[in-house]
Amino acid sequence: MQETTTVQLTVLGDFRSGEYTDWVRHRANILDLTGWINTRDNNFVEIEICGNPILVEAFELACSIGPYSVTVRDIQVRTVSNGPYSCSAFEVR
Amino acid sequence: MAGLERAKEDWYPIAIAGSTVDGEQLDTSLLGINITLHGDKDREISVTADGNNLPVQTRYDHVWTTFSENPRPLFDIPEADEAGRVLVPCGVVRVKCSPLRAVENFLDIAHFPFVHTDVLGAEPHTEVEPYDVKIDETIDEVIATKVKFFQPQAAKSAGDGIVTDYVYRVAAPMVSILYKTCPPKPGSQDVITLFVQPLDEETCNVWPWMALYDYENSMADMISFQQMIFVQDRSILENQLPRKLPLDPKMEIPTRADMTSIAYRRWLKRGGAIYGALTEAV
Amino acid sequence: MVTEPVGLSNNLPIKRVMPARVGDTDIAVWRSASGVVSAWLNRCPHRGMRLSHGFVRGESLACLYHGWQYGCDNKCKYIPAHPALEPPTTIQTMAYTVVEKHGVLWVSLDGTPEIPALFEKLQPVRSISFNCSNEDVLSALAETTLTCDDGQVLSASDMQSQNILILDNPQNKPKLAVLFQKSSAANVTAHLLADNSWSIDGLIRISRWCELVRRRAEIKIPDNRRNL
Repeated sequence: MQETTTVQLTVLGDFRSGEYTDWVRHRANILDLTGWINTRDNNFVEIEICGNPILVEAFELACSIGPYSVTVRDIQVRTVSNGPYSCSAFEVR
Repeated sequence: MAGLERAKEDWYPIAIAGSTVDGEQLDTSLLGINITLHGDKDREISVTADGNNLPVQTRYDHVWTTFSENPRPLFDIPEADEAGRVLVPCGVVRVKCSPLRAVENFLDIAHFPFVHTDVLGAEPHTEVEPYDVKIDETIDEVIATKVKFFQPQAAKSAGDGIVTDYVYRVAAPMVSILYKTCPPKPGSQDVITLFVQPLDEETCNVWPWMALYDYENSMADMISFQQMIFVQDRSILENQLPRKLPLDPKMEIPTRADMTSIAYRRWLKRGGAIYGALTEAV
Repeated sequence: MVTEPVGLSNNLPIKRVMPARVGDTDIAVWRSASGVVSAWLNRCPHRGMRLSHGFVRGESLACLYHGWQYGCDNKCKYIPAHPALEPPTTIQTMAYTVVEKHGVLWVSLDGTPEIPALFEKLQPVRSISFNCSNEDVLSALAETTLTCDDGQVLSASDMQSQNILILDNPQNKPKLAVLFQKSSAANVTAHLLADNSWSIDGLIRISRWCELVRRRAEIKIPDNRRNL
C-alpha cells in the first residue's frame, strides 16, 4: 500500500478561456488522482487533490502551467491530510 | 511568425571570436534570416543581413549579433572574469531541433544515467532528489538551485563517483549557464554554458563554452569531452516529437524531476518568447 | 482500415525494437524477452522521445531519454527518477494491434488487422529498402524478370492491392509475393515471401533479383531528389 496525501491548491491567474477545468481533469485522470476543481471566478480556482505524494506533486507542476490560453500567476499549496480520502473520482464542482 | 519580433530583441552567438581571417565571408542563418559574416583585419568580424550592418559584440570568446537597434543587454557571467579560470570555447554542434529544446535538455539531469551512461550518471543512481526552482522577476531569469546528482566521472580528477551539486540559470531564452562542483578546487564551481544560435524554429547551432579551474587536461581534451557529451544529447534532441517545444504539456507527463523544464516553459510563455515553441498541445 | 506489413518476424529478434510507419503514423515495434510483440505510437508519454530508440529489459521497453519502462500491457512499470513510486496504470503508451502471421508482422491502427488469405502458403525470404519512391520501384519491377526452378519466367503481374504485388498467380497460388511498406515519399521497404517450390539456389536468385530491382529503381531518381 503506497502512502496517500491530500492537498488543496489555490490557483490565481487568468482563466477566461474556460479551458483550465477540462485540462486539469485530464491531468488528474492521467495521474490516477481523485478530488475536485471549483472555478470561483475568472481569476481564482480551487482544487483538492488526493493520491500518491509523488503524483500529487506532478499534478501541481502541470497545473502551474496549464493550457496555453490560461495564465497561471500563482499557485499556493496547503496539505489537508495524509490519510485516506472520501472522493472516488475527480469531480468538477 | 509567432515570437519573431520578441526573438529579434536578443543577442545570439554566431562564431568563435578570432576564428576568421581577413577577407573571408561566411553565410549562416539567424531566426530564419540569411546573414553574412565578414572577416575583417585583426580577426574582427562584421555581420550583414540583406546588405545592412548588424550590431556586433565579442564576449565569452564568441561573436554575438542582434537584429535590434535597441537590444536587451547581453547577460552577465561574473565568473568569466575571475583570474585563474581556463576559458574554453567548444566549437559548434548543428542540431535538428528547436533552439528551445536544446536549452531544455541542458537543464535536465534525470537523463544522465541513460544518455551519458557511466560519465555523468549511472544506474542504479537514477533518483532525482527534490530541488528548488524559481523565476526571479527582478533579474528575469529562471534559477534552479540545490540540484544534486550522483556522477561516476564528474571530472577526470575525480577518482570514484561523487554527488555533484548544480545550479542552473536561464539568462535568455536561448542561453543557459550551469555551475557545478569543481573536484580539483573545493569551494569553487566550474561554469559550463550553452549558447544557442537559432537558425530557424526547428534547427539550431549550439556553442558550448566553459570557464573551468582545470590545469591538468589539455584544451583539446576538454573540448572533445564536451563535444562527446553534446553529441550524445543530439541523439535525443533530434528524436523528440514534436520538433518545436510545446508550451502546453498536455501530451506529456512531467514529474518533480522535470520542474526546471516546466519553469522554463512558464517563463518563455510569460515573456512571449515563443520563437521555436508550440502554443497548442500536440 | 489500414493493415500494414511492418516487417518480417525474423528481423525482430527478442529484446529488440525497431521503427516503422503505418500511413503517416510513426510507430515503434518491439519484442520482449519472452517473445511478446507490441506496436506503439513512437513517442514516450513522458517527454515525447521516440521509443524506437529505447531498449528492452525483460518484459518492458525502456525509453532512452529518462528510462521510463512500459510493459507488454502498454502500462508504465517504472520511473527511474522516482524509484519508490509504483506508477499508476493510467500512464500508458498509445498501442496499436499487431499480429504475427505467416512470418510477417502486421499492424492495424484502427482494429484487427485484415491479413490476405493467400499468404497462408508463403514463407518470408527477406526484406529490402529502397531510397526512392514507390513508383520508381514499380517501374523497375516491370523491367525485370525472375526465373523459377522449373524454368518458368515470372514478371510483375497482378497488383493485388496498393501494398501487395503478386508474381505468377494462375490459380491464386502465388510463387512470390512482394509486400510494400512505404515509409516516406523517398523511402520504401519491401518484404519478399515465396512458396515452397523454391530451392536454396532459387531463394538466392530471388535475393539477387530484388537487389537488381533496387539498383534500377534508385537510378531513376534525378540527383536533386536523391535522399542522401
